[in-house]
Amino acid sequence: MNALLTADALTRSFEVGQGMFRRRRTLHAVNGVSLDIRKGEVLAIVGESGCGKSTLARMLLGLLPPSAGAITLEGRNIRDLGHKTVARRVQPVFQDPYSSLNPRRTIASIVALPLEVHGVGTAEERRRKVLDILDRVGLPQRFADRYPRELSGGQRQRVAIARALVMNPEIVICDEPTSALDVSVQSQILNLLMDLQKELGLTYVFISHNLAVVEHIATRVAVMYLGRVVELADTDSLFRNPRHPYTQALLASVLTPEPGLGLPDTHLGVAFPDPLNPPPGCSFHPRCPRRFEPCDKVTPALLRDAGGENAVACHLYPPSPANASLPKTKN
Amino acid sequence: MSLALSSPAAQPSRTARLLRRLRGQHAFLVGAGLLVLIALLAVFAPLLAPHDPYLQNLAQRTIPPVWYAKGSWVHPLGTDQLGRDYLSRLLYGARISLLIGVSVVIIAGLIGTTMGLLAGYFGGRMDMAMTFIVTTRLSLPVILVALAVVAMVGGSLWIVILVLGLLKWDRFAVVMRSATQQVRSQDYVAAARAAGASTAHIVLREVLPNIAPQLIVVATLEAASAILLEAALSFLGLGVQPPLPSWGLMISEAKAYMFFSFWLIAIPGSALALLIFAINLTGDGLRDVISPDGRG
Repeated sequence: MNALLTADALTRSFEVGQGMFRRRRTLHAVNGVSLDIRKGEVLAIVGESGCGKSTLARMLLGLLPPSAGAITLEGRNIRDLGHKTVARRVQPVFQDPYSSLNPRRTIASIVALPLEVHGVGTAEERRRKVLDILDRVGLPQRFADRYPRELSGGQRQRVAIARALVMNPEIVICDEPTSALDVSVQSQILNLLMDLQKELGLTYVFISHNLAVVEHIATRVAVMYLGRVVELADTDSLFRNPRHPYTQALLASVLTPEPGLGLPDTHLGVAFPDPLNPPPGCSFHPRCPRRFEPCDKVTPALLRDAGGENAVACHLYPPSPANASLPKTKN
Repeated sequence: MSLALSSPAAQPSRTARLLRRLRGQHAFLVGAGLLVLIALLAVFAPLLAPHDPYLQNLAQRTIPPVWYAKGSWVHPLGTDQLGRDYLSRLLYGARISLLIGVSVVIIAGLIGTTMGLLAGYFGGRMDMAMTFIVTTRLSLPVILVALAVVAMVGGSLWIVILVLGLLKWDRFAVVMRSATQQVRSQDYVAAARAAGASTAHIVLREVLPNIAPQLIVVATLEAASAILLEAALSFLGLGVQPPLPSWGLMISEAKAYMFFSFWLIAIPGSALALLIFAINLTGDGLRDVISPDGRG
């Protein structure tokens, strides 16, 4: 197993103040997440809004320092590697292509920014590189001197992808790269991402709440709930045999195109727990249809199953002596 | 592929597009035209002025302008209470007003924009400190502080510029701070950071160009207000000192003759109003022309 990027018991909390004189409270956006991102894979991170997906992405990019835990890039802590080294190897594609491109720069200047920052080549070489990469993401070269406002959402997202790839990074962290786009454009961008992955041997961390997309492109899936990874499995087993009750509910919630069926019932109720005041024990237990005795007292650890590949954090799957525990998550 | 990708639309040059946007901005064209005209008159004052603005001739005091019965083309705008040619003084006065407007905006703009950028970008303690300094500054009335300083160290053109420049940065700081806060939450700032860009690069190359429209609007407002403040200080006798021909000073010197030689006040007063009007029109128009959302 060759882990390229590793998150080790990663925690990020925010102090949430409500006015000057009230007590500040701590929000654990990400709570003890441990993940291996392996070379060449597409690791999808799914979960509902507010579960900490984007905070995790920002930490993996080095944009947000973790409160606790460490991120290592091929065994070296990214804190010690330096910002530029990480930037060279890990690049983002953001959700909203309307906010991720500087409206005052031309497309060429936006895509050339990483080259400029790292002092790659002369202006002429940079220009050639930019035109190359624009070509690669399917944008005609005459767009180079236009401004973002002249481009459609899909074209803008292609520019964002070009900027991410221009330094030949190894890992691209896509934070919901298609959810701000029209449905018809989404598939184009997804296919582009998949093609580029094959051609350039990229590794993706793909954050999404669109399960159909995830099933289509991911090799492994991590399901997050309230800042924790509750299930980690390869895509096939996750979609064929979801084990955590939350994963089961998530899959059941996917809308079917059948018009007569109406909204699926997830048995979850409406009570999304307050992340400022997470429930004791398993944070999912107030909504869990299968909760039993230990659920509201003991936080389940993320445990590998017998095969050693997939893992789930749920008391329904008790550890057997054969099970090896993943690095213990902090409570 | 979307439709736009295959359309062979030719790309007009930047200047062409800017010109196209300028057409139809009537207010801006009027304002900018006036401003350019006043600036040209000020720059070429030595060539245009028919007389030496400092030359006194007591035999020719308070000659009325040419449109009065007693006026003559020798002194198209008449002469003042000391017999100096009023048109020449008006032209040289434009130099003072523009010099003050531009210098004060440069000094105040540098201070205020730096503070606003730092506070808006870094937030936290930097922001708290900046807010405190701005509040302190806002509690000082500009005209009183200026009066006190001038009374202490004596009035001169450069003292007035310095005092106003060091006092009038508050609006720059406040507006730049909130504009920066808005821009820094955009993903392109995060993308620049993720690309490894330094903080200086991000602040100067990503944030600053995007708050330029607001900066221009504040700069024009502040230039106009600085010119008016100088006129007020000079009127009170604590600004530009005679015999320099500042418009405010001209009004002040003429106040004793208001009922007999009305033009002595009306002419510099109108010039002042026209200049402020031109600056404000230009600022408003520039904001519309420069802001990227309106372009296309």
